[in-house]
Amino acid sequence: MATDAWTNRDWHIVRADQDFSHAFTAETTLNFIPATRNGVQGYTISHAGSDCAKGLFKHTFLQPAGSRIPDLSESAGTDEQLPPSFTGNYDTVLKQIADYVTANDDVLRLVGDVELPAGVQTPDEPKLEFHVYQITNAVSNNLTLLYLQPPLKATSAANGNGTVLGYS
Amino acid sequence: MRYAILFSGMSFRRHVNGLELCYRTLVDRLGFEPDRIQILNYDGSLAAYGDADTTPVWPGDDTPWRMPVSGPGNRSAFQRVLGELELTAEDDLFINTLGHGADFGGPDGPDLFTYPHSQRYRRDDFCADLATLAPHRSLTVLMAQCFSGGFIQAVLAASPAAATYVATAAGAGQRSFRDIRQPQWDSFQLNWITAIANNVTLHEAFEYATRPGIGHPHDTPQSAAQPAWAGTLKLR
Repeated sequence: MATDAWTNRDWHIVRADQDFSHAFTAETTLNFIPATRNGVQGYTISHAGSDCAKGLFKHTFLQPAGSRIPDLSESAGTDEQLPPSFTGNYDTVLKQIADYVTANDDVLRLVGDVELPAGVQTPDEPKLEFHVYQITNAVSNNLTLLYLQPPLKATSAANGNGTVLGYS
Repeated sequence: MRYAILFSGMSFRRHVNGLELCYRTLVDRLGFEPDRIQILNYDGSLAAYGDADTTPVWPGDDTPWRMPVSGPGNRSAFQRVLGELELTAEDDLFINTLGHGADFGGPDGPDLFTYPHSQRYRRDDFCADLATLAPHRSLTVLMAQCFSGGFIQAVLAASPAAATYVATAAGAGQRSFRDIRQPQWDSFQLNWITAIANNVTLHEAFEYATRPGIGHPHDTPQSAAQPAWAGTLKLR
């Protein structure tokens, strides 16, 4: 089952910006833990080895959607893998990946949210909604890219937001 | 002659409201000819993302919508309207972009989200399209999307106009927001357009829109003029 691709591996968070930086810490690991809520199978998050039931992610429950995991060449039209630092002139590839996963609803994603700390919340927006994607063979040595972005949401106060980049 | 292009890609309702505010201001307050204003929004209608059912009236004054949307909010439509302009050295062009932006922080710079699927309209593509314009007297660009400050230097470099002024709601790498008190508008665009309606200069409008207490506290507006006197121009 495609969703098994999330579990039993450490996902290394490399970069988190804008609102994501308040919940995801760079240079830490993230794990997806299988869970069931209200009869729905999904995942909770253990961030930096934390207990899923504590901390910012204690209410987070990620539900899978879509089924297909694309690779780098399919999603970005290139075979030139990204460095694990995501530094340098690689935003062209990242933009192509972002466009691809946004335009293709059948791409496997995890859908959920996290409650941000009170001091950094945008007024009327206590929760940061996000989608989690993976792109195979996208990072050096055929590692899998972890990519988080917010969904477009008509009630958002801001005209854009950040992303999270990592790998496993 | 004076021309305008009003553009919003993956519009929320507040962005469509802002396009109408801009359209009415240009026509009613600044004397633009309506047929010299091109409006590109979302899917080519008055619809917005997550809000296809347009209310019969505009929330600014509860009168029927007036702006004629001539195409969707995407690059091909923008290129089309640029290509239809026959600018001369005596002409002025005003461009207002609203909606969403994104930026991975690399050398590619920021993007505008366009219709459909939030397809990115890259900064450098946007500027390459601007560079196809014939030389003209002035280009004024008002950008309200997140990360819009990252467009400024590229727009100045690409502009074929003798004078170029750019005002943005956000700095490079920064976000922009809806108005706190009036969430049916984008804060900076509302305040800049409100000011320019009173026949002030481009930079006076910027100064008004950035007064303490008037804008969104998290907005980080920027402006630039080339040459410096471009900020003393008016849209009227």
